[in-house]
Amino acid sequence: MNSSAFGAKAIVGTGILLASLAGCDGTDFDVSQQIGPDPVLPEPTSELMPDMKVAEVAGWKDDQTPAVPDSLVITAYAKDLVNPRTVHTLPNGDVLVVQSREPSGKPIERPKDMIRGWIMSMAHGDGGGAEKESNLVTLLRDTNRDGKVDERHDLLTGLHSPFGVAWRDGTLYVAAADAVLAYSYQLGQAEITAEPQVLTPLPGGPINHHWTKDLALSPDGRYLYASVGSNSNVAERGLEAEKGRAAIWQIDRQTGAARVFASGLRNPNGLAFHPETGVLWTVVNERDELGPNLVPDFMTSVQEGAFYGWPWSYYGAHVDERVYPPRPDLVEKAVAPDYALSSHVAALGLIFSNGSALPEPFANGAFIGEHGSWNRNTFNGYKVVYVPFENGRPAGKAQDVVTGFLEGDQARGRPVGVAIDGTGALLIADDAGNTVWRVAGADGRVTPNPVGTDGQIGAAVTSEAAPPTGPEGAASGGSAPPAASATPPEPPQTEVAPAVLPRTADEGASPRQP
Amino acid sequence: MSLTSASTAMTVTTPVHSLLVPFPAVCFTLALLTDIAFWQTGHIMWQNFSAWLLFAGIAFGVISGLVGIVEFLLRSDRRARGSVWLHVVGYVLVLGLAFVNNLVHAGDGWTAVVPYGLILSAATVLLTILVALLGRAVLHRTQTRSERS
Repeated sequence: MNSSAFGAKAIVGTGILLASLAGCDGTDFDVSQQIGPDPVLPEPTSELMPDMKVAEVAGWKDDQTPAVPDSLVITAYAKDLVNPRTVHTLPNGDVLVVQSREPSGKPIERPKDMIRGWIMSMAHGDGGGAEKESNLVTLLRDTNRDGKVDERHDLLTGLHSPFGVAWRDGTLYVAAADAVLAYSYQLGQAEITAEPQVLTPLPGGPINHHWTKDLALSPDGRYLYASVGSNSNVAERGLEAEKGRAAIWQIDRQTGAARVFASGLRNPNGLAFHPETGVLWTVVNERDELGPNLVPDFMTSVQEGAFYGWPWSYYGAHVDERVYPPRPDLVEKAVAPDYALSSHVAALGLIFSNGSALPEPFANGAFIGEHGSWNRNTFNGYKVVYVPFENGRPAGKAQDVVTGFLEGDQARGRPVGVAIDGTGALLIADDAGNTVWRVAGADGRVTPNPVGTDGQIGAAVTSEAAPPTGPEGAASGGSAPPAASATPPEPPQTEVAPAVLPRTADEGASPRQP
Repeated sequence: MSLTSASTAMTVTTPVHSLLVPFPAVCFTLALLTDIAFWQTGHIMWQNFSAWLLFAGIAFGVISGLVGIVEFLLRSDRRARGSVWLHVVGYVLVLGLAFVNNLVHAGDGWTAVVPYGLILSAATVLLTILVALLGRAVLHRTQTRSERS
């Protein structure tokens, strides 16, 4: 019959269309080509069904630990935490563990959001059972410096999805999902009763797609640096949603005044100053759905005022066709990052090992926590890697240090933040495994003094009886805007989407011919 | 008289099915319009409209299809098979095309619509019209034949 012949043709046609749109999966791609300063970047593929493979969370059994090389030993530093994401060492050696869950209330904008949300909930172990309370900061104290936690106190609870922390001059700064909060806190205190002051509001909900706001303190102690991730994969919620986002903010600790320090960084986390050079570094999660081997996540030094391409381009001038209208002027400005970590590894934690007690091969470089992939058919990440440095720059291939987070298609845990504890060992926050792991040299060596994550040495700061600083002062001024020392640009970059410099007048008219 | 023509029409469709079947057709047609609006303006709102319209079209399309199968099986009178098969094949093709279009629209940004999403939306609408016209022609032929006999 005519109609069935027509039908058969159309079915074949649809089949061909399906096959051609689906694209092929480059399983033979050598992912190590994308580790280092000059990654191989294949052509983007548009996947009809984006590869999705998320590891179901199985958790750790009592005797199980991740695996480390022979020169290292790994132990559980603290268990029974609730989604630990960041570990931070105070100058006196106390360790803060920030535990948090994604903020709720993200609006569903497209049918995709519903389906995606359901699949992702699997990866975070949100399966059945009553959820334990998260969104707290727990203090772990190792009083005799033997690498075991002797005291444990819940310092702050009921926070709004906290991530980054920093401490200076009797003030503990906590980056919640929408603001940097300042708590009066002296080292050694085991509880915080004072109400916080809002130092600086940060771009928050209701979308808050990349909600983790990390913090680092500048070596001179004057500024805080806060990472603000994008509100989308590649600006598909519109640029209006990206105001002040995909950027690293510089915040004056005294006044709370903020400006954009660097922009075009899709989801930066793991802010850390290099101890030798004093340069700010970060790890960044790059965009999804361009294929299993695009775009490599990276580690980079953060240059002041630099624009790193998101959303219009990646690795310099590799244009992302999904963003409309195109902005060749910005693509031209885009700076390529320093060091690729391979695609979809989800690098979230970064710490330099200088001054730690770890053995020689790990004495001068960066540890990076890789949370693990979802947008690939084969897993990538789910481990902690080490990148050796020389003269403050990466020098050599990343090597796997802490592995064994995966067991078949299940995840026992997933690493996030990393830090050096008060004895010079590496700490890893494992949010899916609800554990903080401690990796020490097998020789049992410890550092002579605790060194804080922000580089402060214990002895130098304990005498601090600092007068009340910025936040209190700012708060007494009521709702008045913080008195910024420098005049902010008009409009402030933090109000521009994304946080690039304001357009000049002639750029205003966008090219409109489809 | 009116009863006869109504029962003839039922040989092609079925009562509840025929009530539901306009939903996907309307959704897919509107999705073409919102796709064109997005193509012309670049405004994300239109892209979201398209995605929901395509999703609703598929959802109602599947429900309507299932109802149609049940109604067809329950019916004792199964004349005019040719026209039923045309309807079934056409219906499945339209839904198949719309499903692929859903996946294309689930992508992020401009390329989720331009050009493939837009082309698929147009193809879905064209195919829907084509199937409807062919169905009408076959129905007409069957009707004439059954009137002769």
